[in-house]
Amino acid sequence: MVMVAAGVAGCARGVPQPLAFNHRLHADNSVPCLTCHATAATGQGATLPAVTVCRRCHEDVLYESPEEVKIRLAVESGRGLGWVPVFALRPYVYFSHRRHVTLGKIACASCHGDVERRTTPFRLAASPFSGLGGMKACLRCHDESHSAYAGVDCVDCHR
Amino acid sequence: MPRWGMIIDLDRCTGCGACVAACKVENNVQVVSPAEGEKGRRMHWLRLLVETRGEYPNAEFRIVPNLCMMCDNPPCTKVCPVHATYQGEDGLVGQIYPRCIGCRYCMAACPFSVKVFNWGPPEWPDAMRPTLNPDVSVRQRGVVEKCTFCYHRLQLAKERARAEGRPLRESDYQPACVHSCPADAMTFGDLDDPLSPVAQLSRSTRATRALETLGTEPKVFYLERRDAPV
Amino acid sequence: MCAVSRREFMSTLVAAGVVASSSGWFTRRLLAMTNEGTLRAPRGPGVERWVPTLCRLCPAACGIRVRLVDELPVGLEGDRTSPLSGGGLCPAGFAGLHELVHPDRVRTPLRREGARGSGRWTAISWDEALEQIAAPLRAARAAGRPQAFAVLERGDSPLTRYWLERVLGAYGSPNLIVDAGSEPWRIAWAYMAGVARPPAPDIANADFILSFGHEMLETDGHPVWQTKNWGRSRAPSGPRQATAAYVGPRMSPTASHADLRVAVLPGTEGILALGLVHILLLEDLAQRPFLDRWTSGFRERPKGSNAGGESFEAYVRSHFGLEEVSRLTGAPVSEIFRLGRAFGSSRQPIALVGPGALAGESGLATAMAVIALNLAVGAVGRAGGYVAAGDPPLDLPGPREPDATAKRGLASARIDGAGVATLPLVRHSAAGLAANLAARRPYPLEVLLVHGVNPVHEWPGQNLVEEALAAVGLVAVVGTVADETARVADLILPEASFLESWQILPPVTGIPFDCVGLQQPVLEPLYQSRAFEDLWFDLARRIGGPAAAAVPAGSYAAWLPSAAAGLERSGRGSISGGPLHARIAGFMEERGWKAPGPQTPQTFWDEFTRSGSWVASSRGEHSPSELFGDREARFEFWPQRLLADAQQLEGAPVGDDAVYKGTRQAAGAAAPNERPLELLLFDTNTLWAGRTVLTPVILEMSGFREDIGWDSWVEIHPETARRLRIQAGDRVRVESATGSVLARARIAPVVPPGAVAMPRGLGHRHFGRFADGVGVNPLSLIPSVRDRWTGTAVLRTRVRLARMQA
Repeated sequence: MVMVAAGVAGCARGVPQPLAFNHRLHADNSVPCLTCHATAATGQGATLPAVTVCRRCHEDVLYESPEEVKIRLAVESGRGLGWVPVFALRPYVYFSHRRHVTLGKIACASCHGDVERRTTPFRLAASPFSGLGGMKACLRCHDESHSAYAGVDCVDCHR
Repeated sequence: MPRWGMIIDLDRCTGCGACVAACKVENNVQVVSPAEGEKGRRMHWLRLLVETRGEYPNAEFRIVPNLCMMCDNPPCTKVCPVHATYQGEDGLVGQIYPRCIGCRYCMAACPFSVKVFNWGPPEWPDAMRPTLNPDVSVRQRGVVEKCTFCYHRLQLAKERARAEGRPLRESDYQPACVHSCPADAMTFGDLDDPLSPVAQLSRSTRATRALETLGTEPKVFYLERRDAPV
Repeated sequence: MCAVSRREFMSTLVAAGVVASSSGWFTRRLLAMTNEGTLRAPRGPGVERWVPTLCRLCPAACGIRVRLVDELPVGLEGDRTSPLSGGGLCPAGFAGLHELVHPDRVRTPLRREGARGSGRWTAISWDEALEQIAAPLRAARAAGRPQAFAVLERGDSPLTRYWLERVLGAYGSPNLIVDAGSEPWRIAWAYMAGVARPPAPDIANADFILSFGHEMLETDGHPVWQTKNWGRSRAPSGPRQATAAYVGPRMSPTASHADLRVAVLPGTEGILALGLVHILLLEDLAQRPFLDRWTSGFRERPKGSNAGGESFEAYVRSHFGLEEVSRLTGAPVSEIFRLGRAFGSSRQPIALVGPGALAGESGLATAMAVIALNLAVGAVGRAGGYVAAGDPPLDLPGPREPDATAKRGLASARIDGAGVATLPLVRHSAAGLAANLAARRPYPLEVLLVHGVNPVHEWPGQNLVEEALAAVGLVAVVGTVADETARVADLILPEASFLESWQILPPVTGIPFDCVGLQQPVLEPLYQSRAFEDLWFDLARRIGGPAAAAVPAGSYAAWLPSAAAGLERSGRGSISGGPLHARIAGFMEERGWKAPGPQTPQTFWDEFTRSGSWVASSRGEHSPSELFGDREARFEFWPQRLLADAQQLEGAPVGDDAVYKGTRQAAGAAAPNERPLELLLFDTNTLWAGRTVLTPVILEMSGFREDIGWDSWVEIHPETARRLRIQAGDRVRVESATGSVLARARIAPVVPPGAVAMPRGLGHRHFGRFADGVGVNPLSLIPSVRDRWTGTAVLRTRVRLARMQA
């Protein structure tokens, strides 16, 4: 948390994102998380969606919004939107979304919280696992009482 | 739960060094500068102990691949003040780098000298960085590291088996050194499965373990070299 | 304004005093992690993909699988489905990715500025670069001098060689110089059996493998395939399937692992081979029925040849008496006896000879002596012996008739003197090239294209080599990393690494069955690099005329599937699923079965790219006749053709026994007192004679068995060391007539008291930031001398040692 605090101190609003993305709007329109963060079901990383993913729905004009125009411009330029990742997994941690999402059937919100209600893009780390106390969040499930399905051996996750 | 173990057949081992290179690359083990190397700070999780015996022309290299023995009764874990090296549920000796404070007690405790210390920051030219193995962290300066039996491969194999809805098979998981061996001198598997090749070989009359009298119960077995039949 | 990089972010922390106020040790660690880059950019979803391809660091071309995570190559391993390497790999192979991402890769074509060797280069376009080569080539051909173009090639890809020969043939130059270093062995078989290609040793089925300096566990032949077989022959329980024996002066790793070893003086391997023949005769272990049916000259000289000459049998008995052999080789009679008996009484023995044993003045004689030993035990045309080498049925365009200019050019003498200054069957003489170029003999060379060879570093007589290159109008060097030869060139062309290009590889080293590996790119070529074959096609097109007509339209990669189509059409073999599959498929094929394979060329190609290799069974039953084809022929102990050729070369009658007497040349050489030690060169499976691009992992492992990293060493017998007061680890000056180097002393009983040994491959001056200045190059100690008969370099010299004060 020291890092986050300092980040806020140094730069009040975190990093700017290229698009005023509204999670809530998408959720209210019944777009599930995995539609855009598809690799969360199949891969290790959930990843930020490529602009081609946005285009699947925003091919035609849905809203008269300058933000939607940015999607079309990004597709045309071929350069993508250029999301700024705000969270990077520690290299010494093995974390697989597939293991949690598909195999463990854990809802996204269990770790990521109320992203569905968010109306602005992430400018600071979105995960409870960011910062230095991150492992505490893991241990909410990975403790002795859940050891039947959540490993508690260090090397299950450390590498 | 499987009890992972390794058999190294010294009769087959030619000392070619493939395991050494495979380990080094697989685990992003740091290459130290030549000057540091001269101080004995070269880092290998797996090295070859070589002894040259005899007189010319019957000089012989006795070569023994030396790696973490994954003791059932590991001396190193008992001295770690911060629980950075510990014995896991499946009997493997883990080394958790973010916990390690670099006191090197475990190195002193290890009778096989298989632990190495990061004396300097890991240095790779920028161009080479992208080819580092993403499954293994790059250890920072000041921690002790060691062979993990390529545990990251087990992490992936477990998940893959689960995703395919089947139990983990012995063949799903093999450390890089075992896979690399061109002479097939290394065998890896579950010592507790009586039918597995490792369990059978571990009962061979040629099977021996390093410094057995210390009672550390290594899970790496060596099959002794046989004398020439001629 | 708020876009901060991670590093700046941390600096902000420091500036804000947060770090300073935290506990010291922990924050220092944190800082170390950011500054040292242990925090990496976020990766993608972690999608893994494996691409089967080939390692091309040495000619063995082991099958590998490259691991891509999110399309970034992050690892490689041996390919279990490869019919040859079966999942094994040598240490250098694991560093394969490091060549790909070597920070000193050539990025664009470079043109020299200023004098040669000044090291000033200008980046130019591919168009400019190719035109700079093509323009003088067009002019030379127009002037009727197409022979003034030569290509110096490493020669580890038969298809590359095919295209080089084809275009050079159309253009009109006879000068493709392949520096593969196996000429003595090749021409020995050509003379004794009349075969164009040496047969391959079927070591998988041999029960006694005798190596005359053949480092089968290190660098010679196909080391990984040989090591696989070695492992297979030593099952954890039960008896050994094969005995290994070694003959040579240096107790190499192969020797150390052998069951039997006999030390001989350097260069006397051939004498020992004939000594063993003598023992076979004495013990009645020679395979008489084989010798009577398939050879001539053993029992008696064939009629019509030099009448009155001795039979081979009588010759060996009279000239290679055991006392004599023992005196010349330094091996005790009892040892020779023991080895000869064990060899002769095995069911399927085979004798191999390595390039080290053939690199002396007596290379041809040594090769012939070893072949004679194999013949004496019938180790030709049988399982576990020498059998016809695999020749996969690739589809190649048919020959082209050269035009008049090309014909004249092709008829001119070769620039390296091969076949003219040497025995006529010699095709390549890399050693002859340097001498001839320097003397501008037999004609001046206008353009030299160098690919995969680094003469300035690899060849003896380095002053001569640089002088030779200076005498060439234009030198263009193709490579991934610029080497010493590139430094004195006029043009450097960036080559795509083997992980960025396509190739189909029949094994170049002798393999007793047909198999083919597919090399496919794991990513697009980095920078502006291009596959050598594509560069060659483009150059041919730019030269124009018949050269342009000799190459297909389109890229090399586009042409390859049509070559592979021949594999499917042949009706033999199948896409490989591994060594076991190869064996089962072979078993079925011999019995008339054929696994239903892919149907169309396209599906065949698709499956080929998925598997990475194709394999056909070996012929189940072997016969010596398979080497001769339709010819009615025998193996000749006294090749008439050789006697005639030698006589012509020497310009005087050669003795009747000139053939085998050659084995003794080395033994006779007197030892001048001021340089009492013979220098032996050896290769290791990390350094590979300096041909692999040396990267940190490999340099650190340069002497991994000797506990030496990033350095060269000189192996000294304990007795010699004691005499010279040299201790392990001392810096020692090794001095020959042509130069001196400093190396670290390794004192070990692996060399005889009269010799010292040094590894090849280090001592680079310009070969990327890692290798430069690491160790020394022992070739600088060796004068440029070549064997007259075979045109190969004699890699021997005498040295003295002096300890340096610390």
